[in-house]
Amino acid sequence: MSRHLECRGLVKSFGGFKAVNDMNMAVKKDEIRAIIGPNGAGKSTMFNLLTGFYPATSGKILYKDVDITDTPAYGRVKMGFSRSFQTPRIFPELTVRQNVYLSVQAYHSKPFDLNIFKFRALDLPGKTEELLGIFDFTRHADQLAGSLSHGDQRILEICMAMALSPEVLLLDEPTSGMSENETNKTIDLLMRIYDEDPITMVIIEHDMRIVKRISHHITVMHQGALLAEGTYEQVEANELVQKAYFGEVR
Amino acid sequence: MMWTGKDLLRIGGAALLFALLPAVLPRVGSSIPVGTEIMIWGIFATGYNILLGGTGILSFGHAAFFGLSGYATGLLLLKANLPLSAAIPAAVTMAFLAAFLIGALIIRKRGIYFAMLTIAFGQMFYFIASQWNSVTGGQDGLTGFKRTEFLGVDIRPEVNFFYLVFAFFLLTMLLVRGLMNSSIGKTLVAIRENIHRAEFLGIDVKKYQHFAFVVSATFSGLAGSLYVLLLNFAFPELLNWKTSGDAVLMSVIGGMRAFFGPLVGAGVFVFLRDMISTLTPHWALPLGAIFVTFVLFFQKGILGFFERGKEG
Amino acid sequence: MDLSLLLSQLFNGINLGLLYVLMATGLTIIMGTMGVVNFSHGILFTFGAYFAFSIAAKFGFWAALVLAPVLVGGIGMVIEMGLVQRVYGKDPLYSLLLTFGLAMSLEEVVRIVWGTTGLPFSPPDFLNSFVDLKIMFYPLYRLAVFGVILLLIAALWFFLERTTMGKIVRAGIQDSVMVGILGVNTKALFTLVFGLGAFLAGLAGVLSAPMSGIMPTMGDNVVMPSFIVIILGGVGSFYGSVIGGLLLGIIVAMCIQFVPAVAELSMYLVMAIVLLVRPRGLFGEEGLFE
Repeated sequence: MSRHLECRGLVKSFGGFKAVNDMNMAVKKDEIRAIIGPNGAGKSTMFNLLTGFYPATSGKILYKDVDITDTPAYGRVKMGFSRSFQTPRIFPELTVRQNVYLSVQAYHSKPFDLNIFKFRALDLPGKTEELLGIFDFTRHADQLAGSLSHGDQRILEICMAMALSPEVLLLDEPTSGMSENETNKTIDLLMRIYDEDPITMVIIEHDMRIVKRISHHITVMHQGALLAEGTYEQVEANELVQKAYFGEVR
Repeated sequence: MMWTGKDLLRIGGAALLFALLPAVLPRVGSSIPVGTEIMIWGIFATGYNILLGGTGILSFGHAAFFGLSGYATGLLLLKANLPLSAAIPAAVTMAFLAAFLIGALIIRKRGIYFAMLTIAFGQMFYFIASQWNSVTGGQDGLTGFKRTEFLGVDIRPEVNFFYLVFAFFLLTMLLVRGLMNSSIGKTLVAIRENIHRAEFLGIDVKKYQHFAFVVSATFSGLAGSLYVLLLNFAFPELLNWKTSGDAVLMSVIGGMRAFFGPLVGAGVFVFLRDMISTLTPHWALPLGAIFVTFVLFFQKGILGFFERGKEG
Repeated sequence: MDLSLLLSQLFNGINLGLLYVLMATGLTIIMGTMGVVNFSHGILFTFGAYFAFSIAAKFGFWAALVLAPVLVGGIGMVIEMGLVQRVYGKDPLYSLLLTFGLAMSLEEVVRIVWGTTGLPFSPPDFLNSFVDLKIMFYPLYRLAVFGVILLLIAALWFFLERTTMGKIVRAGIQDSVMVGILGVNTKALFTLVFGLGAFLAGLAGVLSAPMSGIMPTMGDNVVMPSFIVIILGGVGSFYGSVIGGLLLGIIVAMCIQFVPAVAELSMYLVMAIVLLVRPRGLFGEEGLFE
């Protein structure tokens, strides 16, 4: 599908300030799209718009050709979206296992679902253990999530995002604040997940090596708008992009 | 809804303790109504804590439902001559409906604004109760009704009424524990722990918050109905935000994150109030000071010491 | 419709409103700067009145008028340094609970020290007369209160707009973290702001005493309206609390005159409507607590 996730003319104003200014983007199904751009380009705001964290000031967001501009965040999650945040949003006072369990439970339940028999049949604890294994958390399963290292918290968040069996995964700077080791571990993990079962991914990244390694297509944002789009080679050679990153002083 | 073996053991233990109170209390210089009162506040606070400790939402207006149900009970007995077995459910249902409507209206607001709205509605009810003389008896309160029997059992004696309240108390403990164990309870905890993450797990946060509000208010209503029957009297102060504050106080002191926390808090509150008031009428001072101390230094409450790191 | 009655009730409304303004301004700068919800504001008001009573008994009315609010301001700073400081950065829930417990305890302290019955408090005799305003007669004392509060509001305005210290306070209301990064001693700033808020509450108490009488529960009647004024005017907004206070005072006074049973209720209805329709209030910032 050529337009799995799409936005048209997307605008977000905070008072007089336009954080996102007429953005257009169309992501193909199972494409890995990286969004890059200098600080303040509006990348995180874009994410927040796409995931329903912020309401758009104007413009449209379409998912599988359905207009989801007015769908609330939890609704989009139910449609197959999943995201991680720049600062990990996990449940710090709960254990790692409880964190993952909640994600698994959330995926399988409707509001106020009390069907114990259905839950038992689904074996949620089993699925939880499986996920913990994939993400190498089995040893730490009983630790409080808040006590994990920053890097591990981010991986936990990705684990929880994956527990939702998403069709679209949005990751906001998944490796920021991570060591070289942790970064490689995370990227390997993402690649493994993708190879096993491809999904559409949109990733905000600053690290160009990562962008080069994993993305199929890149969107460059600058001052809230689309600056350039293309493969890594195309974007790298683009003069406007170079100017934005290196030539302009903010 | 399910209970673990541990749950049943603990609830059973508490039940046993309370079942023995009517024999113990008179011997230690106290009286049976004190025990009844502790259970009633226990119902109020435990139900309330579904919202505060369980979902992380502060309401200073639950006394509105406490008092609404209380007045309804009194009025149904007085004016409609309903038997108690019908009056109590009817009154509690009224609290449920009021909470459903008010909750639907205000749940969209966050944090401090939500708390202020709950105070607003609480105070509205309070003023209606203290001004609507013809119906509620105004500032003097509602009198003229008495608890007589429940399903044929004479509950005028304190000890009999104690055991009626005990039945409701046990029911409350089991229901609340079961709820918090269920997937719904776990979802509420998720909302408390990180509201955004909960939303991004696909949880309809507002719906669950509304649910917690309504359920906790319904238990407040039950407590209010029983309280009015304990006193054979209903009065406006029952609806005051300060009464709501008492529920908060109990939950915080006893431990918001522990299932038995609010019950412990209720016991502490009643005992302190009764004990201290024999020494001085100024019992609010040490109680307030204790509360402040807990808010500052022992945010996990009394039971927090024992349930470190576990989930309530 | 009796014009003089209407007018005198309007004046009463402004009078009440100005007291609300004092209370609300104090509350709003505390809330805006430190994010603290000060439920003990009512008891600070009460302390103002009681201190005035005790001071006046020994040193006369004027000494009380000046010293009582200052004393209350001092107590405010002590409360901030000893207790409130410890809940900074935490969920506003904790400041609410803390100040609630504090108010509970301090109200008892008032009862212990000064007793539970109401106390009388009179201004000097010359203020006890009525002024002939042609359309009506109006108590001189109340006009004097107008004057004092308006003067104070002007002084506050001058402080906030024209002095360096005041600008720091205003900046702190906007963004206390930034102010700290810019090198301001935020610890001292917070103590000052709390003290100032307390001072205003204490002053409101002193001024209110001759009109409403002195009772341990007198603060209860002003706490809720103060919060309503802030919500009406917008958290952190000085102009908001001025306009909001006046508006609310007039609404309540008019209700008292024409539909007395509903007077208190009307306040809560106003609050509920504002919160549901425009939570930021008239002048507040979007999203502060939304």
